[in-house]
Amino acid sequence: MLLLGLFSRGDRLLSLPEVFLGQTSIVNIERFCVKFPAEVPDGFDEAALIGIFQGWIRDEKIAGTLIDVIDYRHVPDGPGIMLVTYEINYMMEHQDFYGLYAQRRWGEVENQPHPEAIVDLVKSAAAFGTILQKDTGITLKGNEFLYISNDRLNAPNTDAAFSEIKPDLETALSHIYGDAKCSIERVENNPKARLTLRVKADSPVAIADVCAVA
Amino acid sequence: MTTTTNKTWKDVLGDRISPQMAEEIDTFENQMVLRCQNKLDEKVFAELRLRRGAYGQRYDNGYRNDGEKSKAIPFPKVELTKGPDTKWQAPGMQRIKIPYGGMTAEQMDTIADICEEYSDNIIHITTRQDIQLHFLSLDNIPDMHRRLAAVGITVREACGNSVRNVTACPLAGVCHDEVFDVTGHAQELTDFFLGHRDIQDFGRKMKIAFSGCEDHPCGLTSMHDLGFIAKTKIIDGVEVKGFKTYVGGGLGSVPFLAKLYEEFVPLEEIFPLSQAIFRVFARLGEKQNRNKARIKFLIQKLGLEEFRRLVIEERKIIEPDPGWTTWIEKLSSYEEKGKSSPVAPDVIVDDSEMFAKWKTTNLYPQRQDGYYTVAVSLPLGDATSPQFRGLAELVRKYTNDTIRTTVEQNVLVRWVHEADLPALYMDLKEISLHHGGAHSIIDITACPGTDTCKLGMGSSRGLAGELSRRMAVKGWQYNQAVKDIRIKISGCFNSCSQHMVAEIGFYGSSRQVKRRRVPHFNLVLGGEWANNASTYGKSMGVLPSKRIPDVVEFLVDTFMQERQGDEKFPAFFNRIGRVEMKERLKPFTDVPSYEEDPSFYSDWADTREFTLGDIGIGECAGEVVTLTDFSMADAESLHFDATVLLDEPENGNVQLAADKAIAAMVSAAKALLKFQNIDIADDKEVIAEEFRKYFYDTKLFFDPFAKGKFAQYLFTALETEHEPINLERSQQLIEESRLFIEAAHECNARMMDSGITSPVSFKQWMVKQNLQLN
Repeated sequence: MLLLGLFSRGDRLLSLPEVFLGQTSIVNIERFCVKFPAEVPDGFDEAALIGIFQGWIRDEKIAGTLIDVIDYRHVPDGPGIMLVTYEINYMMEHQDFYGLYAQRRWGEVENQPHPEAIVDLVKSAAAFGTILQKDTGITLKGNEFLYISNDRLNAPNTDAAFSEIKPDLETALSHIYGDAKCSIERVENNPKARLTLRVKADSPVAIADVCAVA
Repeated sequence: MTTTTNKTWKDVLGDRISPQMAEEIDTFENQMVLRCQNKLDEKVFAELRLRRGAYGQRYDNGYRNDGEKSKAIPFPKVELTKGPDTKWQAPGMQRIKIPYGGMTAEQMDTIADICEEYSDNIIHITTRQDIQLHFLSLDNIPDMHRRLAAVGITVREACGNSVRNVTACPLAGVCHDEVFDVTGHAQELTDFFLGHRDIQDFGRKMKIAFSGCEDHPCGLTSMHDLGFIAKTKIIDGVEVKGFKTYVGGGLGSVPFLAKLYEEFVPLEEIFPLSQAIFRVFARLGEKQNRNKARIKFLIQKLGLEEFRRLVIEERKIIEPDPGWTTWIEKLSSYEEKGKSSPVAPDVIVDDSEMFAKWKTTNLYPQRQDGYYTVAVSLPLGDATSPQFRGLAELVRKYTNDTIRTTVEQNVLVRWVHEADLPALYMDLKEISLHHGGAHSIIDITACPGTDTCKLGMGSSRGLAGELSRRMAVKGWQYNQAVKDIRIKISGCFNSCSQHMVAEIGFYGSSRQVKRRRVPHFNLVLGGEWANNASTYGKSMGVLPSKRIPDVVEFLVDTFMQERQGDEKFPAFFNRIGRVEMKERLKPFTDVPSYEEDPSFYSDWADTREFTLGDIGIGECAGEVVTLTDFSMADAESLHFDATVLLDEPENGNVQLAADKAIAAMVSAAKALLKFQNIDIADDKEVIAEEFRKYFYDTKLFFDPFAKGKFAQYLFTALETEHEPINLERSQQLIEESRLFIEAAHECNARMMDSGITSPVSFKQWMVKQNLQLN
């Protein structure tokens, strides 16, 4: 099992709290984002996502407190079509590259360790992406994503914050990608922009497999 | 392994925030805690948060229609509210006041940061030079306010019954036509009245605008509660600066053009005069009925002369304040300059054709030789945080921190060296903000509409996006004949897009077609942006949403074909005439059946059906609906006749128009009464009496937000119909009649949704409501 290799004890899979037990992390990084690269099939009209996301809300196809769909197609390099939930904003975003951007708005679980929160967000994004692939033909790369700190107070765009966050991300990745070799690199960007880390597993992973993380 | 930190923005920014602002934010945070503990009434809390610009947003009552039925949104703490019917955890909006639209690059960086972290990464420029962020959690608001305060931005009185953002011409200081630069006046007036005791007891908001000249539209003083136009006057041989002062203008649901209060008010008198006006407004303005509470209604009630007399009397008794004049010496600090030399004069653009086109629409040569003001076109007023941050960098690079937002939802980068234009263009291209067509026909203004506004009826932004895409392909933004036509779209009649002063304006509406709701837009033609928005457009009735792009193409094509000489669109429209134009637009009113084309039953950028779900069929429904529809059609027709009569307000037409407007309301009321009594009499007094009994007293006619406001229009019109009429009152009756008819359509739709389709079902509804009126 690629994804779960590190997290079993005997025949029993460890629960996430068990995995993260005893680990500490930067507290209060409640707001962060992940972005998975996506590719649209030839001739795909982005406007179609409006109806698809509206249908997901109506049929409650994804988890969370679903609120609305917003059309930002008019904004160059913008969020494209966005599905708003109480917990996470999902956008098919055009900034730098087209991809599924999931913005965690706050921590739902009090004092949740950051690695566990990362896994949760990746799982939510992957679940979204899995349905997206099925309903639209848009394909997502499951083995790479950006981690974007969205909290300049607790995780500013500095070397120090990078050093602090990297272990959290490593822990999360070991859960997400198991024993696959992963790289984490800091994206060189405008110092005023957010601390951004590029994550890559060395072998292809289907987004549905990422979604299946226990 | 990582370490633990417990930093807060309050700790980090403590010494960068003024003690007063810090205390205000702390107080608000405490009020939030009290509200969460239910120790602060939700109504009181709502007003407190509104005064800090923290608004509610669509669906914050916890319900949303998914296209088939209304469903509860299961917020985790559904019992916690931030106002009546407003869930605490529902996403909300923050309005950020930007006086005269002036920002610094540092402020832009902060706005970009907070937008990215707390909002949805979209910064929205409003039609009053504010900035709005959406989809925010109330819990993040205090920190957001602290971060804004640390760069000198207050959100105090961004909403609520107070002095709102003071706007000004964004070209102030660089304009060729201005009498003098009004920038400092707008900022100083803002500062003087912020939190002032005399503005705390208004019944409604107060909007103020400054304009540097009389002839051009930038300040839009005619549509403001209080408008100042720069003037000079020779007094005792000395040139004195002052302002031509207007009062009582406003758009909203019933638009009023401002009235001239005084031809010349010297600088040292504008603060005390404003204060006197505010005190009279606070003392005598309507407080109970917020629909009649703007100062325009007070002036209408008192008459301008009596209002002026009261203000003069008030002025005499106000305790003198040194702040009335000390600001004048600070005005010189607002003077701007450009960089002494170009910073990147050797850059060559990589698409010279587009650059050349861009220069035709996005540049304004300043009166200062060699400098340009560059308009950066933000589609629908939106920019992402990285774009805004990128813009801030360009402002630093090319200017001395001189940028302004505009009421047309763009930004102006001022004081750019001509030699730097290619470099700036290329830098804008890097952040995808290099598009031409600023302030042209494709640069459409739209309010948030059904995207986020609780009052929105139509998808103003969805329609604007669609129109913009279609027209850009045609290249109309570079067509000399039509590029200056402005299109403005509001989601409802409240005029937030300023559709009344657009050449082509729209506002959202809906109609019932064979038991389904069909999104429509009201078309308003011939408004004038010029001369400080001195002429409002004329209503042309409703058209199905999905036909609007074709309607716009038809209007523009017709204009291009039939234009005479250099004729502008309003003049063209007036020459063709409203009746003829309405006739020509008739083919666009058709709504195909649902089976034929269901797309007509959804709005732009929203695939949900524009309906509240299954509608039951009551007894005799077909016949009753038909009779109702007949009466509603009569009402529409009478209203249109009234508007046409006022096109030539001579020979008794003013009175006739007023009569028709009242008759239109009576007809619409009668249409609804047919649900209760098919044989309702034609006598208007009987209709009014029955309407009050069955639709007003029962609250059946009440709009969810405006409550009984529109019904009051009918009652007041009938009560005062024998009073002498003038042009203004006649215009007002026509606007009120239009709103009454709209409300009647809505009421009709609500009744259908509730199965009230016949006298029998009406009676059943009454019984269910425990309303025994018979």
